[in-house]
Amino acid sequence: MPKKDGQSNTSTNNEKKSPSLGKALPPRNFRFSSGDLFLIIGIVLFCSFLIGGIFIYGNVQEKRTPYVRILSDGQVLLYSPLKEFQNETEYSIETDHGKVVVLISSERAVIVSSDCPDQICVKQGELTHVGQGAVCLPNKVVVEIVPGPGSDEEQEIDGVAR
Amino acid sequence: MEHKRDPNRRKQCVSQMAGLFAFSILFSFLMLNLSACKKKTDKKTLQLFALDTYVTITVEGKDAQEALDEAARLITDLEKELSSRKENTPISRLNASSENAPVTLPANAYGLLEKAWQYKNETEGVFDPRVAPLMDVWGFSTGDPHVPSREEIDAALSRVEEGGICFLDSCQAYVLPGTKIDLGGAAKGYIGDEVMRELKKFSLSRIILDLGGNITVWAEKDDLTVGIVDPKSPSVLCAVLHLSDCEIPQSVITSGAYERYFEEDGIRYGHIMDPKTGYPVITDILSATVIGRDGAKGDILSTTLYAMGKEKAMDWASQKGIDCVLCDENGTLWVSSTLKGKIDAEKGWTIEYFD
Repeated sequence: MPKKDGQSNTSTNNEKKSPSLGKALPPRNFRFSSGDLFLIIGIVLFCSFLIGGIFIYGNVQEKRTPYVRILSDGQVLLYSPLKEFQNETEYSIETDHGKVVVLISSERAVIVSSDCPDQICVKQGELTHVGQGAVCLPNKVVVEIVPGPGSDEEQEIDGVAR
Repeated sequence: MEHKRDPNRRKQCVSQMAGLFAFSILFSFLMLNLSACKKKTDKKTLQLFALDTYVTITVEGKDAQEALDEAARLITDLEKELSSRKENTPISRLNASSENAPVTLPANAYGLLEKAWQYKNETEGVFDPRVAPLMDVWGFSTGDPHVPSREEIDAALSRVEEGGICFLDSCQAYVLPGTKIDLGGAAKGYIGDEVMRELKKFSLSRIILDLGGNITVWAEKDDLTVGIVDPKSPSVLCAVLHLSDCEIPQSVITSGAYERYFEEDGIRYGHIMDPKTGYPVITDILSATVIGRDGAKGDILSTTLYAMGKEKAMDWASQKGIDCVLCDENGTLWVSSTLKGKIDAEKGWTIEYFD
């Protein structure tokens, strides 16, 4: 504690009384000055900020890491963080009805083609944000962007009318 | 405080500080853990292909799992009652009925049928549950959308115009010859209402029903947000609604032809039929969203407003006191003034209120 040493050097005037009183009243050693109090509050605050910061940052990071999920007739075929797809990856999903092709890169997922008459899933376009999804009804395939695991955070939007 | 170059005192001081330091860290952890624990909820989601669409149900609370099981059962049952596309359902039996052979319908089907018929009159035929023959010739119900021949359209159109339902006592009814009824324009909204009514009996704090984009929500005390899809680019939103008073269920139902359409010779044909012309409706709005307490009504009225077009829809909505959002080609959201302060436009859209 170099700061303490510095302080004691400058306050030599007060030392006269201390030998006798110091021995008679040992608890005096434990009394806080306002400086100590500030220091303690400082440490508490600093620790809180530090740990809290790490905690919140970690949480936010987790929350902000979107996952891509592909379901085929209720079965999960893929569930991975989007950022893992640094190289564009193509997924072909064979269903009873035909084939659905999904392209995934670190930024987005998109159904590029599908053997279905309505093409609603292809018309959905690029999915980039949590909460977005494309559903192919005839093929029973769902591609969606979901929050990462462990992110218990409430989603901003409770539902989307379409 | 007196200070002295006393090694004992210094030691004491250091250990004191170390203790305080450790205590601070412990304290911080404790507080953070406490705050982290609060976020944990019993949130459960069910996703299934049903009602010719994709259904997502999210509930929070003690009975989450039981509630979802019940919801899945209820949806399957109601689908069997209200579908006309499946074989041997009450509605398909109704379509095969005649004056000499009326059918007895389950209370749900009979009630919704009466409601749909009543709205056919109230909307002056813009909404019409007899429109099924047109959906068939245009191939929207068969999964093969195409432009039919003039003869096919005329034949279907006469079936629509001459069709009718006769309601008898004790849930009995029959249809006039050639009539084909489809409750597709009202059933999802109605099922949303029914499922919500049943789920509310469970110990839950929040219920979000998404029946293929028909949203019905309820929350014990929170306000909820519901987005409206951008009809120009269906992967993003054009507006966000902030719903308060969610302790009474509310539904947000959008109609438009921006998803179910096909193109032939460069012309876009949507899936919402005009029962007067036999062609897909021609309208100057891209989608109409109705916000209200009655999902079946919202389902019917969103289709009606969409088909009416901007001017007539605004007149009609204000006359009937319907809370709605109409999206047009120019990126304007025409919003009932009763929704002031409850809606935010997303990027690229501007809000105009009407009375």
